[in-house]
Amino acid sequence: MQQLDVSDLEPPEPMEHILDALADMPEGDCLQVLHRREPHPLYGMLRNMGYHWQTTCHAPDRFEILIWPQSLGSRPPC
Amino acid sequence: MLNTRGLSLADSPPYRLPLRFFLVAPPFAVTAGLLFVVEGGPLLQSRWTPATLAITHLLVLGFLGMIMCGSLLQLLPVLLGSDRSASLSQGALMVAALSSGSLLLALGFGLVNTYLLLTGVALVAMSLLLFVALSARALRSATGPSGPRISVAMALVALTVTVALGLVLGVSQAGWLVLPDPQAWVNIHLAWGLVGWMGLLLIAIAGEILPMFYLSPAYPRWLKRLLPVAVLLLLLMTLLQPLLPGEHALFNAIGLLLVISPVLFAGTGFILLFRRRRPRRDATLGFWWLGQASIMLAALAWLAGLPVTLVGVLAIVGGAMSFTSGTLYKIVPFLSWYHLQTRKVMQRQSDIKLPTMQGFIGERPARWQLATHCVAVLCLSLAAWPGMPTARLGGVMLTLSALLLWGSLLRANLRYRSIARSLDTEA
Repeated sequence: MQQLDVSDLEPPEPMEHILDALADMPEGDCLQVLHRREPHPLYGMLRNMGYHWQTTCHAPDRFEILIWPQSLGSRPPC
Repeated sequence: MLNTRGLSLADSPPYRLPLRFFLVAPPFAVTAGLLFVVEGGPLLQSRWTPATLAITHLLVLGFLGMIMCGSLLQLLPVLLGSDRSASLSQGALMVAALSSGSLLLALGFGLVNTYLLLTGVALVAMSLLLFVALSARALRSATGPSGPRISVAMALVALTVTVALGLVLGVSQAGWLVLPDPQAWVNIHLAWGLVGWMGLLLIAIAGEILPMFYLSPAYPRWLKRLLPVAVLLLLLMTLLQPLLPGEHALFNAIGLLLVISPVLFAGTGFILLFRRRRPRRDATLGFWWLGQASIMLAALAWLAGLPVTLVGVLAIVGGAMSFTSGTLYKIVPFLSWYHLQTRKVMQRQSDIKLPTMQGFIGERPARWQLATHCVAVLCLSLAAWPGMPTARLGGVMLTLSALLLWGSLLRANLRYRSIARSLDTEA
């Protein structure tokens, strides 16, 4: 599983980094993103790109977003 | 908390929806600036002259109202995860009614023409009530944090009451209704509009935007939660004032607390921005600081018993107009980038590089606008004192500031359209 911390970046850099990381991600892998807020605008893009995601809120400024290809099923594979 | 529900592109408001609001707004500030140039000093010697009332409504409805409505329609999905947005036709109807209504209302005040005034009031009320209904529907589907959702809901309540009070005042102006103490009703209308609608929306939006774009620490939880409730309760109590004529210590205390509450929020924001993790100082940061300082000075001026037109200039031109300008320089490039990025993803065009946010609106015009706006606030504030010959220069600077903002927004829109066309051609 690849990890990416975008907590200290200003918009739109978090989304740019996430999209770049997904483009480079090996097939069958998943991406764990750490963010300081819930990235609502990212979700529509992920769905259009064929990814599932699961968001967990650990604290008001600490979100973990797990992203994986829809081909791996609807449950988190990692 | 788990969330696997998403937004599709169809749920996100189209780029044109907020941009229509934003592009229509600056000409109202240009008109207000030109009125300052034409009328000069007497404008700021009284809040009751026809031209002063016309300028106030051009700025709060045509400029601020337009930008705040457009921003909220867009920010509800982006910040609060709402998946119900207004349609393009509903947006066009709101823009048409609000812009024509604001213009007729200002003409009605300026020319002392009751028919124009009432037509303007009706159009503005229709537009804003449609906006409240659509925003309330969007808010119901929002999944974001409860604090800003509650603040936005309260701001919408305040806007509804402001519109209702405006309707009552319009009808009274036409002579169809006799109000016992018209000045008290105007003051209540003003308090609900400025502290209620604009202040509560600012609490909701600034609480999200400052940590998001400037990496500032979050506002204290108690401030974000308790302040909107306290402001709304205080505003509700003001509605009793016309029923109890005469001086009452209670209403003086309510007025004092209503003045202190924006100071608390602006002062806290001022400190939070100094503690931000993003060191870069751009023009948008300057707009936030100018706005926060102006709000605090407006409160001091009110407490010191200085001319009420000075309080108005500081709160509206220095405070609210600075916040909205600073916010536009952030959200318009972000929306341009986001919609192009979405289009790129949908068309599977991974090789095409999009410009950065600065590529849509450069820093230089934003800095020029900040400078001209600072001078406008200074000149118009000084012009509130009798004999100070700075109103016309303030009007020139306000006009320039609005033109620079308009130019930046048009440039971002043209850049967006040009890149969108390139993407479509290559697809």
